Order: sequence, then C-alpha cells, then structure tokens
Amino acid sequence: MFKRVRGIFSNDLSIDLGTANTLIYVRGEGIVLDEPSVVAITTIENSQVIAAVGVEAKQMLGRTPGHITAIRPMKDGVIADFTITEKMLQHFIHKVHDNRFWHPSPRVLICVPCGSTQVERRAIRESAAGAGAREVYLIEEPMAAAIGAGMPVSEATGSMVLDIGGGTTEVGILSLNGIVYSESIRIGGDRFDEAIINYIRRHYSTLIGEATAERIKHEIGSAYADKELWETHVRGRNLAEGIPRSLTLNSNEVLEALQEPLASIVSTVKGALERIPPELGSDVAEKGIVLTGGGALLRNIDRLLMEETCLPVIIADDPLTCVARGGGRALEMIEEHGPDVFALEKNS
Amino acid sequence: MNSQVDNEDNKDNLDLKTNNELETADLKLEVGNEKENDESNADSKILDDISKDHESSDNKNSTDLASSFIIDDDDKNDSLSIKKPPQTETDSLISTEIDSSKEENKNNSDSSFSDNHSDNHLVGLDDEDYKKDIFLAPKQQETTQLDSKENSYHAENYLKQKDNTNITSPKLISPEVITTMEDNSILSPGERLRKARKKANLSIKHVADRLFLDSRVIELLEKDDYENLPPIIFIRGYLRNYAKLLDIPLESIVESFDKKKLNSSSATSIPKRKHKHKETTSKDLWHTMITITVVIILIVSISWQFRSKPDNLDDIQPVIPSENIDVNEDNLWENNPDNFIKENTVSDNQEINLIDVNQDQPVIDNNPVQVIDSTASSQTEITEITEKSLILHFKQRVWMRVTDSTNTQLYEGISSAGKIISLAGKPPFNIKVGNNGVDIEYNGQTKNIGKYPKKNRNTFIIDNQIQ
Repeated sequence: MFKRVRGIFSNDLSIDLGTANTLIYVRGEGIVLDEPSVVAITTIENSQVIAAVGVEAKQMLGRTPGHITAIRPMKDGVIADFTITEKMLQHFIHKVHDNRFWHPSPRVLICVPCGSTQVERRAIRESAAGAGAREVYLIEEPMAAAIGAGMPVSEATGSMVLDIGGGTTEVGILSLNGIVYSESIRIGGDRFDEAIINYIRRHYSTLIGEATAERIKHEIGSAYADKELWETHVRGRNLAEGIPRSLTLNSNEVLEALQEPLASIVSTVKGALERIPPELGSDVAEKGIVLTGGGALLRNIDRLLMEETCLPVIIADDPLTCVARGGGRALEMIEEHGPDVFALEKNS
Repeated sequence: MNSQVDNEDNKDNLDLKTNNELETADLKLEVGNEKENDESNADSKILDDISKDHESSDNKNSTDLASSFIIDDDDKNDSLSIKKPPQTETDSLISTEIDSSKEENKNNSDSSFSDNHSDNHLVGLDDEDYKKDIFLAPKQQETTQLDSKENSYHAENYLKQKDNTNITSPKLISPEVITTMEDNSILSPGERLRKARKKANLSIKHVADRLFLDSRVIELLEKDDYENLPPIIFIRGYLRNYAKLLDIPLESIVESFDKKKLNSSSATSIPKRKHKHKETTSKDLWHTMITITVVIILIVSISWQFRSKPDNLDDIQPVIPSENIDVNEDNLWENNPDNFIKENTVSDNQEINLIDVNQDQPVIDNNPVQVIDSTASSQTEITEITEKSLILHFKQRVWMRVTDSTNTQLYEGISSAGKIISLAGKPPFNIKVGNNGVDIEYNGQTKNIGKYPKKNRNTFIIDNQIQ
C-alpha cells in the first residue's frame, strides 16, 4: 500500500541496462540519463563504499589505486555482480528522481538480451526490485530496439533489426508485436576492443588498455575497406622493452583486427535470414535491415552487411538510444492497451 | 623515419587528389618544419585572409583531426607546401578585393597555417566533409572507369558544398554560388539526389544495385513520392545511404526531407505528439490517483467511525421486545449479549403485567419481593445493570430458598403451583429447591430449574454467565 502511494510520486522508467552504457528513459521526459555502467568502490576498513558511478567511475577504470576498484558489473549483457548492479541501479534511479523527499518507487521496464537465461533475467529483475522498483517488466532487446527505431512492429509485416550493443549482438525479426525469430550472440563492442588489444599485442608486442582500444575503435575503426586510410597514434607498453612506446595504427589494421567478431555478426545475420519463414524474408528483403546500438556507429558496418547479405541496410536515427526509447514507448503502449500488448514478463 | 613511412602510405591519398609533386614534397620534408614556416611566412599576408576565413569554422575540427587522423604534422606540411600556391593565388584575388584590412593576424599564421593546410590536404574541404568522404565505399572508386571523373566532380562538388555551408566566408559572395544555395534550399531531397546522380553520370539501375534496393524505390525517392514507400525510418535510411553514395552531406538531405514531411503534414512528428500525449496522460493519472487515495482515506475513516458507533448505540437504545419469547427451552445456551438486553426489558414489561395480575395475591411478608410499578421502570433499568431480576413460575407446590451474591435471602417458603414471583438481587443467585417443579425466568429465558448448573444435589446457581 505504502509503495503504491510512493509510486504516485515516481515516474515510470525504461532502463536499458547495457554492458557499456545504462540509459534511462522517463515517460514524458525522454532520455534523462546516459552513463557508462561502471561503479567505483572504495574499501575502507573492510567495508565497501561506492566512490563513484557512471562517467566519473569510467575515468577511473584501469587507473585506480589499491583501495579503489572500478567494476563493470554487467558482462555480456547480463549481470556479473549482483549487489553492485543493484547499487548502481539504485544510484541511477535516485539520480533521475532527485528533489524527492522520499524513496522513489517507480514502475520499471528493463531491456534484457533475448538470449539471457531465466536465472539471468531473475537476477536483473531482483536487482531492480532491490533498487526500489515497484513493478518490474522485462522486454527483450530486439523488440525494444525495433520500437525505438520506429519500425512498424505492430503490423503484419516482417521487420528485421540488428542491435549491436556493448556485450551482445541481437538479431530479431518481428511481426505483430511479437518476436518471430531472435538470436543473441555474446559479441559486441567489448569484443571489438578485445580484438584490437590482441591484434596490437600480436603485431606490435605492445600492450594497451581497454580505454585506449575503445578510443582506437571510435577514431579509426572500420568494418569495411575504405578508399581513405586513417591513422592514429597509440601509446602502450612494449612487452619486450617494458617501456611505454608510441606506435601508429591505420584503419586497415583495425579492420583486420575486427575481422573475427565481424564475421560472427555477419554469420548470425545470415543464419537468421535462413531460418525465418519466406514471407517474412521477402518483407525484410524489400525494406531492409535496421541497425541499432553503439555498434551501428562503427564506420561502414552498414556497407559490410549490405555487401554480405545483398539487402538494404540502414542505420537507425540515434542508434545508441533506440533501445531505451523503445522501452519507453512500450511502457506507453502498456498504459494505453494494457500489459498484454507484448509478451512481457511481469513481476511486482 | 616514421614520417617517411607515413608519407609513403599517404601517397595513395595524395594521388587521389591528382597531386603530381609528391617527390618535391619529400624533399621539402627533409628540410623540416621551420624552414617551411619561413617559406610560408612570405605568403602569410595572403594566407591570413584565407586563414581567417577558415579559422572560425575549421579550428575546432582541425584540432580533432590533427589528433586523431592520418595526417602527421610532417605530412601536413608536405601537403601544404604542395598545395598552397595555387590555392592562395586564387584566394588572394578574392580576399584582397573583399577585405584588405585583415593583416593584423600575423601571429596566427602559424596556427591558421596548420588549419589551412589540413584544409588544403582535403582539397579545400571542411573537415566534416572530409570525414564524410571517408564513408564512401572504395569499390566504386577503385573498379569503375568513372573514378577519375567522379573524383574531379567530387572535388568541385565539395568546393560548392563548402561554399554553401560556410556562409560567413567572404569568398562565397559570387552569384553562381548564391544561385546554387538557393537551388539547394528550394530543391526537394529527391530533386537534389537526382541532380547529383546525373552529374555523377550514374544510372538509376546502378544506384539501385549499389544500395541493394529496387529501381522503383530509387525512382520514388527521386520523385519525393513517399506514400508508396515503407515507413519513415526506412525512407530516411535510404536517403542517407543514397546521399552517402553521391557524397552529398547526409544531414542536409535528411533535414530537407523532414521539412518536406512536416510541410505535407504527414506523421513525422510522432515523437513530439507522443510527448504531448504523454504529458497530459501522466498529469491526469497523477490527479486521478491523488483523488482516489483521498477518497479511499475518507471512506476508511468514515467506516471506522461507524464501526465503533453501533456498539454504543446498542447499549443505550432500548429494543422493543418481540412477542415470541422462546419458551421451548431450545435456544437456552445460544443467546448473545444483544438478546440479553432485550430480555431484560422484556422481563420488565412482564413484571408489570405480573404484578397487575397477582395484585390480590398475598405475598409472603418476609421476603423482599420487589413490587415494581410502572412508574419505577426507568429506575429499574438503571439499577438492573447491577441488580438482576428473577421470575419464578411455580408448576408444583415447591419449597425453595433464594439468596443472592451478597448472601441476602430474597425468598424462602413454599409456593403453590401457578404462582409467579418476581425477585431482584445481585447475581449470582443460589437457589435451593425441594423439587424441580419450578421454572425460572432469568435474562428473558424461561427454563426449568433443573437446566441450571447444580452446586450440589438440590442447590442451583443462576449466574450472569448463565443465559
């Protein structure tokens, strides 16, 4: 009863609890929070205190002294550290609900990878409940991404969406508010970073950090050979000498480094196209595949997929926020048409 | 060492820009930056003008670029030294005409220099344009014969585009440019794409193949016929891909598409509408929720009050006795407190009747038989809370003795059958009888004495608990 009363004063939230970034969409307000899913913890006399969350904590990643640990509590799209995730969610929910003199108790819709197991889903649900959510709905990411991109999911026509996130890549074919086929692989932006790190270690015997790898990916990362060559300077520890050294990396090398994860993504897309019913396949072929998620920002990824699948591929507007916006829209649809619009998992 | 390697890498790029002087560039590179700067200082006055033109727009971008992209410092200087002369010559003509008082910025020559040359490297392009250029897939350029043509076209086109976007630059003020500007702002996205395609000498079929779309879709896009195309998100995507293919700035195409969509008042502004809708619903919801809670609270409090009230009322209100007092001794043990009160009043009334009936009957003197008149009824009601009345209905000739809790003897003696005696005292009563031929009315219940609990063989207890 008391929770419900508190709920009146809380906004409904849609949370994209991603491996790399957590986004919160508030009904009627839009995206209000977009921060890295990183938590920094200070250990003081055997008790753990949260030192920083979000952007601040991300800056600490890999640069912390002994008593501080910067953790990414999400891995491969699911919870790796339950309590820290709960604390992080709590922090974010409070941040969204500032100026409240009591604890917020919102209804929360969380996007989960379609390949996540029951245990993983339950962990997400419980951590949200622990963070103060009154009711927790779970929606599968391809569905949220498609809604957020503005695809006609409620119509009797197939729409194919490819969401390349930080930890997972999800491909979904949707029709009539439901998922006809979905596939999730645990390859995403993080794997790209790893691939770059490995490549540089192999070819230059130099060790670089995750943050540097991410920077390289953003600056000169490319998924398809370009007529222009881009270069960037990288500083890392030379393994032979043990001293930080500078090296120059060009976009073709990064492309080579990314071949493996990119090939997995392409084969997943092809696999999905193979398995869907022919009617939906023809719908997809006519309209094309929509790319969302941070991975859609990788240069020429659309060109790669176009060449590989021979289908039109388009990048959604503002691909990073598609999932969170789609979740928000789903909340509205629940409000309008009742919770049975989608095959949502509900738990209060 | 590094720079030389870079230069080699860059040769391709420079070649693309139809640069024939690479070798001289390499030579100059060896001389180093400073010398180059000296050289360039000779042109600094001319450069200043150009630099000013570019500074405002390019400065931010160029820092980004310098830090992140291919061009090493050395390389940049190369490309500058190669490209500068023609550029500055042409520029100088314009700039001196327009503004001759810009010489104060000599100190900037260095920084603007680098800005400039990054520009020069890009064949006088905005950095943004340059970046976009990169998005174009290489295949087309590498494989088809169109390459050189296209490239030269691109270069021209870029210059125009740049002119169109960079309105602050004094160079722009040439009638030709103004007309193209107007054209572009007036032209629909489809028109612009068609023009660009024709300029690039591409057929619809070719574009459709490159974008993996039907030729029909390309035609519709160029006709700005969006009714027969898939939802907006796809149209925007197609336009973007198409623009990317033709090296037209993506966002300007998408923006003009949005404008057109807005003008035709179709549903482009779905998100906005949603927002409005949401705001009202959430507000309404809030209000209804609050009113509902207030109402609930009111109802709950009122019901609480009512629940506590009836108890008191029952105590006070005399209940009119019902006629059918159970004489059958069936419900003897099932009474509830409410009945108890009823029966009390019943007994009162009956007392009165009884006394009326039995007035002529002699009453045994010693016994404090309370004869209650009708006038005293109100009094008895009050006293009855402590004192209870007991009515004895004799069925046989019975000896009996009645004492109350204070051990006061209420009655003793032998009464004949049919006699009714009313007694009052504080319960519990002790009744000792010779035989069971007497019915006792207590709390409105009339029962044979034998039904009451026995204290011993012939003594009975009539208590408050016993009903």
